[in-house]
Amino acid sequence: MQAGRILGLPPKPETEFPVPAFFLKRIFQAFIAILGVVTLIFFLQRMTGDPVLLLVPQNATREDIEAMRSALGFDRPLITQYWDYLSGILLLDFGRSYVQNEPVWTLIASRLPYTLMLAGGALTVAFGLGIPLGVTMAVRRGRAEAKAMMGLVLAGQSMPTFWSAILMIMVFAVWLGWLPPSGARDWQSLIMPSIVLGLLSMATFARVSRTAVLDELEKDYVRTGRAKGLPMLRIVMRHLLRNAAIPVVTVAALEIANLLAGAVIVETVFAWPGLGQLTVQAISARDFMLVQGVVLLGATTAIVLNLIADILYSLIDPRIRMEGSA
Amino acid sequence: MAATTATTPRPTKRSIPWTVLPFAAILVALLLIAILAPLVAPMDPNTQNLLARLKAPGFQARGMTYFLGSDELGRDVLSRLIYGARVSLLVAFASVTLSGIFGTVVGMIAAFYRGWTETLIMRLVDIVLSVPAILLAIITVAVLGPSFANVVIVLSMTRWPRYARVAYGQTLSVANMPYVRLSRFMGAGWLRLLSRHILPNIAGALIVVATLEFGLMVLFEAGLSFLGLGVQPPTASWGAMLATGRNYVATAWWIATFPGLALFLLVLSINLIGDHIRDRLDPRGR
Repeated sequence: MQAGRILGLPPKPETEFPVPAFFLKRIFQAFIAILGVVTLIFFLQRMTGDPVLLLVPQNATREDIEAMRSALGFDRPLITQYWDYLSGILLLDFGRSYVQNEPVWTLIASRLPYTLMLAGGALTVAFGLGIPLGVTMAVRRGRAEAKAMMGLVLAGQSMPTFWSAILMIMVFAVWLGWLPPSGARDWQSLIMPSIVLGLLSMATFARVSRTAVLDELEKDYVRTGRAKGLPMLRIVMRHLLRNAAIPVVTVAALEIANLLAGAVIVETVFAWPGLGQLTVQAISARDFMLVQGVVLLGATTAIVLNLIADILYSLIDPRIRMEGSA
Repeated sequence: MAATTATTPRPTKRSIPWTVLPFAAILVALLLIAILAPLVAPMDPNTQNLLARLKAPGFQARGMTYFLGSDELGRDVLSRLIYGARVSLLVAFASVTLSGIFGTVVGMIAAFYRGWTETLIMRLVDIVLSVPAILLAIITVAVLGPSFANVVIVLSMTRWPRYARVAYGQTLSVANMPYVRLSRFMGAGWLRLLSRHILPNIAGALIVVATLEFGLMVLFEAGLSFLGLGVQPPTASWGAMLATGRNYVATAWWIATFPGLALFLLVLSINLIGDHIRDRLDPRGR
């Protein structure tokens, strides 16, 4: 409603289907969120002190420093620098990494495929384990095996990724010698990082699909199927999963954002050359342009995925819209 | 007045189920160990002994036993583990308290005043929640410099919206209850209404959030320390111990294994207890 007013659209009567207003409002909100993150990052970076001092050699004279400052544009008013930064971002220009002397976007683009590969592997693990676990926990609710699985899920949720990563390296790389301990040489290098990163989201998928299936189990069609004498497995596979999939798909969008954040630690442990490792290297080299670029990309991705999840959900379940605009 | 509850009391079992009990015991034990660290630790956590570097658990030197082995500088892993519990618990406790109080107050204000205050606060909540907390934490600590205070501030800054959202929703549902309206008509001020009548009735839900957040804060602190953005060396912290242990996986398995195990047990215990409290307060499950 509010976004509609701001954009000069005529207010619509409440009784009408308020889809466009809700979407516009959410998109506007996501836009503000991204702007907020950009602003926060920009000012945080300028708060640290003089970026020029980090770049010049130790024995630089005052004149050298001043020359460098004006060459890089750090002598201009802050608001001008901010404006330039904002308008650059619109053109995918995230500035230059002064430490590596390359455009930030080039550095990010070279690492992006690795992180996407890792996220894909992790998502496969999370889905492949989480959904069957969740469905079984719901169907077998209250029995010993369901309780044991719940314990497993809780354990997965409480396991710090950096510990499970180290344990896996110890067992599968050092002791058994089955898998490479780190790096990205071939497809085998992807196995351990995917499992470690995936286990965390596995817990979320298991919980969500458990709740979703539990909700469906109470419905009439399940009882009809049982009365007809259909085996439970068939009811679940043929009828129930399709209906229970809705909340799971929405959560998947949110989980991808979490995976990207988790990749920072997992990539560091496994020396996987993706964006996470790039972030950590950039932090230790005090390469703020680069850190800012990666965090901005990560945050934007998260916000956009959030937006997609919300829109997906509201399309499927109109009640969400009502809550959202209340 | 205090005896008037909003909901009808439902019969609850007062016993702790056997699945939760051992984990409650672990939590209490870890708390005691952290508080009594100087008494419990067999050695000083920062004393180096270069003759006893990377020794396996059970190694003896100078009449002392390294029960869990020694690290790359010959420091006792067990003692560092015990002192590390202090850092984990203290950071988590401080950030949960700080973000909890701030988020609760802000959320209650949003629900109480409605109008533009509500819009402003709740949109800010949405925005902060849509950015992965660990990313915000990483960039902020990287810029401000790693220290105990900065880690706590950053964690609180990124987590307060969780409490704000719950406090907001709960306050909205309580604010129109007859007893709140009555005391409003009788002239109670906003401070009295919020603190005496609304807060006690929404505290349960907030405690559940705080418990689950506590586990998350422990993990975040360890993650930041693991990346070198936490409490700085030589102060022992589990995340930093794990980072060291990662470099010695092939030769000294004990350096990474024990802090990881401690972290896992602590977080698992907190999560189990949090789940239990939530089920107790709301048996239907959310």
